[in-house]
Amino acid sequence: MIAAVAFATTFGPETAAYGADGGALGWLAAAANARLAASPLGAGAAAAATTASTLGALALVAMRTQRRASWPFVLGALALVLLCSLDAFHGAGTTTLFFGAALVAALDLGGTLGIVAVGAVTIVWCNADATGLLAPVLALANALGRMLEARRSPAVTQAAISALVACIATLATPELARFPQLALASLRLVDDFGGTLAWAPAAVAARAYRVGFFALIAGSFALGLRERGSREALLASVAIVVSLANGALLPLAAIVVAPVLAAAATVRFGGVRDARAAVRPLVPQTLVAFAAIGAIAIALGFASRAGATNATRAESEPLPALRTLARTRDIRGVACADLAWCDAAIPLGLRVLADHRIGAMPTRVQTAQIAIVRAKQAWLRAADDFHIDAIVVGADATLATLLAAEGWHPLSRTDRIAVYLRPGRGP
Amino acid sequence: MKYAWLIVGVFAARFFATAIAFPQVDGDLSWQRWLGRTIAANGAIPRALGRDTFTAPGAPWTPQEWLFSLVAARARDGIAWDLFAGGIALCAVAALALGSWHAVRRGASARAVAVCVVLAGLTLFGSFGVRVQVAAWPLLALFAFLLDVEGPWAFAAIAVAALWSNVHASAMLAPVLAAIAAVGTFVDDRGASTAARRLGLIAVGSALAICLNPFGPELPRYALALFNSPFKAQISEWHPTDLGDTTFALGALPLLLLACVAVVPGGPRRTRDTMLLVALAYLLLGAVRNVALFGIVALPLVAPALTRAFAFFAKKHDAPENARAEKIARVALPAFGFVLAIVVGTGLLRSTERTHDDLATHAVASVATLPGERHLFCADFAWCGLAVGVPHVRVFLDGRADPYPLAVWMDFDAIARVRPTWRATLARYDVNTIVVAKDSPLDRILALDAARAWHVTYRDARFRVWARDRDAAYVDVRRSARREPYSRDCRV
Repeated sequence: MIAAVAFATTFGPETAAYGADGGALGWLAAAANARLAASPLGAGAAAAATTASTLGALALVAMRTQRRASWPFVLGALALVLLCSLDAFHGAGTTTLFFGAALVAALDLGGTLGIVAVGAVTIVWCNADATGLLAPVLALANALGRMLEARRSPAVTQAAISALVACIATLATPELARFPQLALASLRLVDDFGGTLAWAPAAVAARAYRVGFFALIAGSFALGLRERGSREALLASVAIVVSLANGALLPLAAIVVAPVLAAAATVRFGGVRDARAAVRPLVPQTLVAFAAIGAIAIALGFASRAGATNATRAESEPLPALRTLARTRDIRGVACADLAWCDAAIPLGLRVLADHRIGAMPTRVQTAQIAIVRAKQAWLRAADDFHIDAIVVGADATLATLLAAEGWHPLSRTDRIAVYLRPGRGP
Repeated sequence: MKYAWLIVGVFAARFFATAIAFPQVDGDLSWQRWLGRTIAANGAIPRALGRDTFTAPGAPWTPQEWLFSLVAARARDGIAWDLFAGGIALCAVAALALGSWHAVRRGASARAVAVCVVLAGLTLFGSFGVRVQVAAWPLLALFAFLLDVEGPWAFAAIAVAALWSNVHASAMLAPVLAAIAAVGTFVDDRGASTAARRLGLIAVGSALAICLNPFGPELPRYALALFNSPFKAQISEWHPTDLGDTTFALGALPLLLLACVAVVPGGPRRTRDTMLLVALAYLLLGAVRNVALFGIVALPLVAPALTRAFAFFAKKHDAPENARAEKIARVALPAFGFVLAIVVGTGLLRSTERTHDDLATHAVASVATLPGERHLFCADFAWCGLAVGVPHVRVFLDGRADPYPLAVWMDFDAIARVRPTWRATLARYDVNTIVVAKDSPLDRILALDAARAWHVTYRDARFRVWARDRDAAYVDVRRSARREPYSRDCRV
């Protein structure tokens, strides 16, 4: 896109979904990543951007929380957000963390400024990631909550307009009116394309789920979500449900719930009578709290980057084989058990069945990917239909055994990954 | 209870119909019947796996289901089966009814109980069947109720714990729940009140009571070991809960959210209830099989909280506002509930699911007709439960699951998932019979191998039985080892 200075709204020839809609989902983040990768800082720039977005999200949460809670509980809220984001530094990503925090902060703003902020955040979020579809969901929950609190009031009208604006703003992407449908398909909340894309929180974000989410639920039991009224209770409930559907969305639950719990804790333990009344902001203390948690966030970020390095190493493991494959003649298509491997194959000029954008790809491509990854009955027919001549699989996977039995021959093999070629192809 | 009875009635229709008229949900009932017959014949409970398995004979075994098995052995068919299966359905109904009554005693309104009993009923669907854990549900509900009782009757909880430990190892929950309740009450009462001391005694008494079974302290030790056992990864019921599980999404999650929203605003036992819910939520999020336990315990905790938290659920709505409303409450609603129960029951009895054979029943039965000793591998280990105790058939792994060593589980995985070492593993154990789902990867790889060693001895629309000629097998294994040059490098 950067080279062509044009939006590609359809998938390119690099995948079997060539020509299908959905190619522009997340174009803004992709373009930004490409720019960062091409910058003199290289990977350091990407790490800096991740840290900046995390700190930005924490700052927004701190700002929201300090208006309703005393500073020790601001610290607790930030810690809870951090616990639920433990797996967000790699894999799940920090996009939801930052834009979720920005949207919830915008929903708190009053008047025209609030409406404009909701619209602007939604537009940028939808262009950056398919999870932007959650912006109108949260805005609608916010409006419904306001209505439950007071049937008719300026705040209800403003919340309803904000929700409407958020809905309309989702159309401001290169996909236009198709964005909601494509994004929803991309989020395929409980579907599983095998390998790294089992999106249940316990699979994608195990640490955040076991530690952060459980702490969030325990805190909700202990302190309650209704201290600040129906609006925040409803928003929190929606965020909890959404986060349970997809591990990448766990930080969203904490962003919404943590300030509510901090307010309730202030009422319970801080001697404040009404959590709806604003607590006097204690800026210096909040800054200290933010600095402390920010330092932990950065440390965790570095620790997670070490984990990410291991993950990256695992993902780059098939690279030598993929380079060999790229040099091999007559390889029409490649299928990968782990979509990250196919992500790595595309820059080498290989045409893959599917990459990480599989959620937005046509059903026939998704079905073929699942058939191959899961070694279903139709896997060989799927490989034939899509002209797959090479399959990258786990060395001890079921499919590896079936490939060998069907006469496919190994091009390369480590103790983790094997690349099999169709009979008659390759060296 | 005016709405709750109706809802429980509709659930009862569902539970009775599926328990009595539907096929068993897993193979456990078969080996449990065998266990019951063995206990009755020998007058003793076996403490180790026998020759019915060829992978782990002699492995220590704690057959916690011994009491259930003794009854199951006597209820194979006819009226005995109807009574037995109906009794298990009654256990589920009793758990719901007891939970509802408990909620009412704690001050819940009719509306709040109705909502919560629907959600709690839905949480039972996933695990329901003629299964031993269902027999333990009313004991859990009763134990939770007795923890709330003021006065000496509360100590009956200790007797319930003792009975529970003879039904199912989930009795391990009894002292844990009592201890949590004791600590919570201590905090609520700001000291060692009578209630806190009583609950503390119940916790200690329950810890001792769960040893009052044929296994003594071995049972809690076994339950604790099970909690951390790595083989749980192989069993779908032990997988972490997520939105893909319907009983969680439609039953437990709404209860969880209602608890988050409503539990706090007051109530005399706030800390105690919160601590119990936190403990149950930990179990709930950890494994699908705990969804039902959460529903049973959360029902009486959440319904009163809803009553206090929301005007819509307030008790003032319990009394009919006028004669017409009273008529609806007295006549129309019970009539509607009755009709709905009949519709649900009839619909289930006419359902085609009644004839579904998910357990490869006929395929496994056909193995008994094959000559010689059969070393049977089932691609789903639960199917092999049907073959336990069958003469001349020894199983690789079956639904008893727990006593099998981890190495056997790893080898099972290698074969069932057709890992590169599958063939060598089959040969190592001298497996000569395999039951598989038709067109599964293992079935297809056996078909590719058919010309050399394996041949089909049984097939139906969904399952196939493969048998191997022993002499040819070893030749085949050596040949296959040459054909797969990388198999020696592969991880199991």
